[in-house]
Amino acid sequence: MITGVRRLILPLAALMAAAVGAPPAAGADLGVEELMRSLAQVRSRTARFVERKQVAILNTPLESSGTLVYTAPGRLEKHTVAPRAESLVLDGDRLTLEDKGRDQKRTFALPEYPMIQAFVEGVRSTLAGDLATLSRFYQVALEGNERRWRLLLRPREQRMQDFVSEIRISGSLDRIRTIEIVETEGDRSVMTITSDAP
Amino acid sequence: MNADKILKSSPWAVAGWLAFVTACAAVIARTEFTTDISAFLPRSPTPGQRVLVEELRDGVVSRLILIGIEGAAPETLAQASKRFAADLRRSEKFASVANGEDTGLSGDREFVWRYRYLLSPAVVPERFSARGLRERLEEHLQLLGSSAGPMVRRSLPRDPTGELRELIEPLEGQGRPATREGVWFAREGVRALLVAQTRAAGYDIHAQERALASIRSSFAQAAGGSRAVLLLSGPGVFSVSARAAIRGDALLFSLIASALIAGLLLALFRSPRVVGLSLLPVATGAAAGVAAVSLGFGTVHGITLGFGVTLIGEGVDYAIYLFTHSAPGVPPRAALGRIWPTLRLGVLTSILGFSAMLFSGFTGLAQLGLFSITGLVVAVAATRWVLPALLPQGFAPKVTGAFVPAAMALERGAPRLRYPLLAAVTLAAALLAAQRGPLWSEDLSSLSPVPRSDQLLDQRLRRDIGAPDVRYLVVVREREEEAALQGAEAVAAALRNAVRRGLLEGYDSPSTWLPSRAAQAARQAALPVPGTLRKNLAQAQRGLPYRAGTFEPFLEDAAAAKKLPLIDHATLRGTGLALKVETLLVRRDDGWTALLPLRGVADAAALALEIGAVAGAPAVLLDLKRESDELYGSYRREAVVYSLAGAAAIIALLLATLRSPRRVYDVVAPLAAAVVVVTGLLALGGHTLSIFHLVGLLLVVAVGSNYSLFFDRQAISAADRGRTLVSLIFAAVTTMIGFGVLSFSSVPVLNAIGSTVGLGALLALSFSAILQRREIGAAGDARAWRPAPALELTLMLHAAGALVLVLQPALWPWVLAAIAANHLLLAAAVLWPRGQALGSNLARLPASAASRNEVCLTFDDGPDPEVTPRVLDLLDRHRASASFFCVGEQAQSCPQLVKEIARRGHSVENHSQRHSPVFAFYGPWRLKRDVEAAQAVIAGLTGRPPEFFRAPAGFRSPLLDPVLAQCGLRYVSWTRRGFDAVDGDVQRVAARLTRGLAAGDVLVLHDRAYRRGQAGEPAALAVLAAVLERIAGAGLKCVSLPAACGRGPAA
Repeated sequence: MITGVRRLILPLAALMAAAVGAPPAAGADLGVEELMRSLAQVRSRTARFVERKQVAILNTPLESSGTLVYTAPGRLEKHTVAPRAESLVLDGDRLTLEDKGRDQKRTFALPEYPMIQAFVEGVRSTLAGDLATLSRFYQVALEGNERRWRLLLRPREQRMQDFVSEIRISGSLDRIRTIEIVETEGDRSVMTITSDAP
Repeated sequence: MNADKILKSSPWAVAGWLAFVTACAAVIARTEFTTDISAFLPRSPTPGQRVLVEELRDGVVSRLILIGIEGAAPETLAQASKRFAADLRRSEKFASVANGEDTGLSGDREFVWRYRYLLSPAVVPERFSARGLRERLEEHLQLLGSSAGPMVRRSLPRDPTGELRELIEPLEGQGRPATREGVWFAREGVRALLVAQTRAAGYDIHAQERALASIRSSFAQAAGGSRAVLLLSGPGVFSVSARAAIRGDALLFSLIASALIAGLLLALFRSPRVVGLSLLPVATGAAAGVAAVSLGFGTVHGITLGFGVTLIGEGVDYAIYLFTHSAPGVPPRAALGRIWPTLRLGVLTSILGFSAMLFSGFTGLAQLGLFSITGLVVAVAATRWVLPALLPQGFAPKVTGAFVPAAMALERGAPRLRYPLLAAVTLAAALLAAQRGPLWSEDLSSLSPVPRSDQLLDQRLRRDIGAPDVRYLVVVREREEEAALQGAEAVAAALRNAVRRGLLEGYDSPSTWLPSRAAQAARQAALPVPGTLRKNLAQAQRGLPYRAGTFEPFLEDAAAAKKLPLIDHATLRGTGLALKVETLLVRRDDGWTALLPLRGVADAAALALEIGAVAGAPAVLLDLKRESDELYGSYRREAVVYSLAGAAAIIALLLATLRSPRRVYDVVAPLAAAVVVVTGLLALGGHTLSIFHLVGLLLVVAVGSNYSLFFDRQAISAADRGRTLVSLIFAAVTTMIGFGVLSFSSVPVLNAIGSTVGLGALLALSFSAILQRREIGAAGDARAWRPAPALELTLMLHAAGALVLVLQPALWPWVLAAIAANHLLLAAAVLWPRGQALGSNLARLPASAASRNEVCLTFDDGPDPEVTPRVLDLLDRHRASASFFCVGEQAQSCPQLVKEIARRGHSVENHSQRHSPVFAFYGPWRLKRDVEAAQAVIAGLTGRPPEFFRAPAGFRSPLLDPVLAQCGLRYVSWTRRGFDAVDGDVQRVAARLTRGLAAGDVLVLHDRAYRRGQAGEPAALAVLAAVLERIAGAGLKCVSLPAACGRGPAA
């Protein structure tokens, strides 16, 4: 019952805030639990993305774009359209990479690859509002308010720290806007989630 | 009686025994006992069976110990797992301990990284040309942009051709366990997982036991204080706990049984020394058995020892027979003399039963055969020659006398249970025939003494760890290691292809980590010299966004790889891969074997074709499960065949010794009935029979044959009979206690043998008492009819057939075939005049008549006015008496002649009323009317009802026996017949009657003029004088049948 009510209240509050045009007071900081609860309400979502990667060994950044499909609680699909058709499907414990151009498909059992798992859970657990899992892999910090928040994830394990120094996820209300992965050795990628796909 | 006296009374026997035992002890002292399961490999194994057994003996699978830790918080479990693993890694006993930590693996990674250009099958010259490199760089550029980017970014500068991926990719999807807190965990996170591999082979149970002990003590330290519990599984764990369980149960139950038996014997014989002596034959036999197997086979298998001692358990009975038959006035030696022929026959039957195993292709069974035969021979010899010398002088157990009346009463009452017993046998046989599930267990796991719960734990741990049972395996055998590796490479290439086609998920090969020298050299040669490679790379990089100088590390590594020494066993040492290579590349006596275990085989048949097509590599695809099932199946089939052969040999022996099919039937029937009923009860109890049950049944036959032979034995007095009964009851009770106690064990081996033999011994004894055939009363009395064996079996078969049809109607063709076969056999019995199958049949005079030098002339088909009077005259002239089997209607037509026959002192017997050619096909009522009519006619004329009956032409209806019983008639055939009714050649007729003539013979002629000799005389008359002269000349005397059978104690 409580969750049902909350489901109504949050968007309503957002609407009202937008209507009056007044951002919430700066002092009304958003709590991580609260954000997670709000994210957990989302049952499914489809969006476009543009991802820009800076790799140390390359002169020019690499850019790709496509769609993201999320279905609560555990399924996340990333369909890259350009520059090459490729898809990544995360379903429960299994991660499937499909390279449509070369007709190759590889499946990983996540628990066997702690590194990839940590990576993947950073995004997925955030989407699912699963703070427990997120905290298993990262130290979680939040800044900003409901309309403009930024989640800072620092890996707990040494092995992961060697690769990733921080993951920054920013968004508004229950919607994620950007995912920025800051890697060691100067590599970084920024994924901008632009709008809902039709 | 002191030692001095013993030696005086029987110096040679006791001295010989001591010398023999000493010799056995000397052999045993130098005997090697093994638990190596290759003893259960056929002598000429298929390659598959050999690999199977080698894998079971010391293959990698046999050395795995799966470990789980549960019962505490994940953090605690992870800590315990790390400390535990570190401790175990320090131990000499383990080749490897894996728990998901990197420790052992960093070395592996270093090795793979360093030698990647020698290891990767993708290293070919084209790959390092400008064009080849360009392709790889473009591909990697795409990968960098993709989601897999983070996975390749680090290694790209050193490995732009992606050799590491080539090596690692096939290893993926192997179902490694989940990692949590840096160590392996079951998916649910409740159990930390470890896999240890022992250095010792799986069959080395002692070493496995020591390894397990150190695992337990390490764990106790590692988990000290927490509530974590240890779970262990794996082949070594199973064999250790199975052995412990068998030992524990065997020890416990044999102690209980020994105490009970010793108590019983003590109560009976009132002398600890005698109780001790009762074990002497068995103990001597066992020692001799071990020594014989040791000399014959070089080693003695543990199983031989265990089962062998069980199989010669009947040796305890020998002593009981001897002790019980001793009585005041019957010293042991005299008692032994009385029972010796029966005892000897009993031992011989057991030996024959076991001897079939000697010829087995399985060393295990053959050892068991040799052990039990030697054991029994020595045990009975010890009973015969040593035991009497060691018994106290004047030994005569009194207490046994007290049991005699009760035993006799039991025996008298027993035959009343005949029909209930036959019904039970019928029911059991029908149940077995209609058995829905398989009666015999088809797979090896039926032999496994591992409790169900442990098997489940094993499955769970295996699933958690992702170590499925290896089922499919490709085997490459070569004389040289290099050739084996090249073969493995060829097979691996075919398998890579098959993986792409979806025929299987993956495979392992020793050549993955230790490629053949040829392959390594070719790969080294495929790498361009540094200058060329730099040029190629520069060309390939043109126009791509890679920063300049990015691939310097690659150029360095490639240059180094070109000068690397080739990988060999020494290079691998210290990595976890060394162990993998060692287990997959094995040195055998005849060369090298490379093993390629397969995962996730989807289409074994297509795969076998693929592998068969690999050129130049002698590779075979093995299905280990099928091999093991087949191995067990052939083992069981062989055991069944040899048991049946043993049974046939026993029957042949009995036929040769007892010289009467009827007595053989009487001895065998109770045993067969006991086997059928025990098997039926086991099936009813839901047991699937294993080889252990078969051993149990063999034992029932061996022990039971003594019982039924003693029942068959003619006692010399009532007291002797009583003592026999008591000895049998004691013997059966001790056997029942000894084995029955084992049936409480939860270990399948012990339980199977215990329940089979305990029950079987009791049933064999009771059935022998119930089915015994007492001698028929004096001729002429109307007697209670009891069906002959063939009729009993026919009735049972029909009843069982009907039951089977009710239980399993689909089996009707089998039932029909069985009944048809039965009727064919019956028809054969009808056409076999001298056979005993359809009821008792006097084919020669009783022994008492033979001892009086009597023979009997019989004349069929009369009386006849032309022939009979002249026969009577001739008989008178030779002072001979005879029996005339008269046809009722003939008698009615010449009544005076019948009276004359009787008046002259011959007997007139019944040859049916009408002498119908279809007499054998008469129904029961018509048979009765016909026989009774002739009986009335003859009795009316002679004043004496006939005592004997002979069927027209000797063709005896299966239904005749009850009619004869009602009329008080005995059936008579003949010893020899002249065929005077069909052959006019007088010489030949006379020759047939007199060739081999002997006391006790019954001869047939016809007092009818069917055929005439050259002089026109009826054939019978033409030969009679000559025959009578031959009889007189041989010192024999012609008497009538009543005279021959009616007197003396013969009947």
